[in-house]
Amino acid sequence: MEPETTPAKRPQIHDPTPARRKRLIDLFNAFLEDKISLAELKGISRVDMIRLAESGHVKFKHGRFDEAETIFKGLMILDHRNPYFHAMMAALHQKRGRPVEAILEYSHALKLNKHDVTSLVNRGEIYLRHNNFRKAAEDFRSAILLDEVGSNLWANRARSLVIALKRTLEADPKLNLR
Amino acid sequence: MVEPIRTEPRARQDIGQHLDRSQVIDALKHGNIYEVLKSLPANITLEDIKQYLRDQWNEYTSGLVQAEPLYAQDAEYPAPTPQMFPPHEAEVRMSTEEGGLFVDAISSVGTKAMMTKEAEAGNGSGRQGQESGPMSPEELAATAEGTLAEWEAFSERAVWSILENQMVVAVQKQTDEAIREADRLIAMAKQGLINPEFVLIALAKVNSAKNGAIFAGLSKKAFMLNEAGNRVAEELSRTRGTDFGQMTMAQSRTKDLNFQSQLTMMSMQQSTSNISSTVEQVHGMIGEINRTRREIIGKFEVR
Repeated sequence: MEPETTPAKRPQIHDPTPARRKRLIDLFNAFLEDKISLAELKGISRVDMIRLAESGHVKFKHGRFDEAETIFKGLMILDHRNPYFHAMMAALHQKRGRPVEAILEYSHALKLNKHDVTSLVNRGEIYLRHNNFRKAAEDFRSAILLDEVGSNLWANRARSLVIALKRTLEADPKLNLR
Repeated sequence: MVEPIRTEPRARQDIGQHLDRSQVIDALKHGNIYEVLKSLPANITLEDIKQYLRDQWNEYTSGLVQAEPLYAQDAEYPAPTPQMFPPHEAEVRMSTEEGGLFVDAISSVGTKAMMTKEAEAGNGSGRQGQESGPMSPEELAATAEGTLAEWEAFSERAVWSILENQMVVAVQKQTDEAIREADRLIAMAKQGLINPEFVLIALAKVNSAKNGAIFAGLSKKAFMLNEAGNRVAEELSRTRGTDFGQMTMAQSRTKDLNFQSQLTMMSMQQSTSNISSTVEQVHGMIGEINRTRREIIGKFEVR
């Protein structure tokens, strides 16, 4: 006959896997602090991520924007800290005529990588198209200063756009440099 | 009889096509064109030279191939390179079992799947069993009470922190406004538009505004301390004085609150005395200015 459990003696609960729980908590905290990505947690290799990004870029280059957007949305979820994915999403938004989303994504990419010439030039071009000449000039200036040699295609694009902008302003001084 | 083959007479040869006038071409390439034009042979004219130069230009422009683009197109982005992808840490990968454990822990908070062991000293034996399913009402109530206590402690700490921040912001805002006003009056006094007494009054206002904001913040703190004391009294009244541990805790908490209240009261008194001493000083200074002004006027009239 088994002894009854008295109210004064509650059963003690022992967790058989305290070390594992601690490890999971540490992993979760690291994920929340942006130290590790979901891809690393799930065990998706770096090579697979590169291949996915390459396929997405090929689709983007050949005009298959829907498929490219699906790929890069998934990649952003897997690794939200990679500026390339954000910049590619921004380029997709720019191609599809969504300037606000494009600027947000380019800004996010630049927050993760300040020396991204391409994002600076593309964002500056969006500002330029919407007559925000001051912000466009700031972005182009930053991009040109990052490429003093003149070998970067996007920095060269920025140089040609700056010349065009200068000519526009000289032709029409009444344009509001906002 | 073999008739000789008569060929057509050769046409006047163009410079660009047959290079017969190599000397002129060399002179064009290396010499001064004005000197070349001065010493042109008889069968070469200026038009020949112009045509030669046009042919050369066409040859150069058609022969050059631009292998690489000079600048990017609209909304382009380069292809990914391995350098854009940082290496992954292998040790952070969760196993399948860990992933399932993680999902279980998040999805069902009330479920437990643990081993239980009964610790009874009497019979010397332990009973091991496995319990699974929702918590009992007592355990749920204990968990809820613990969570509530944690929330109350957190909110109390947060309230003090918010209160301090509010006080700092209010002090800063009040002093900034008063300082701007004082600067404006100082500038006007320097220009001679107003009397210097107004500058003294403005500076006194700066001091009063700062101390006033501090006083307001401290009064809020005193109110919160009073509320905390009331809560302690309420908790004690609920136990009706039967729980000795609760009473001890209430006593120490009350002592702490009383000490903090005393410090707050002293700080409030300090603020009010600062304001009153500043006002008295300014009053004295204005009186001194007026007295000096009257003396000067009096001496001037005597003369």
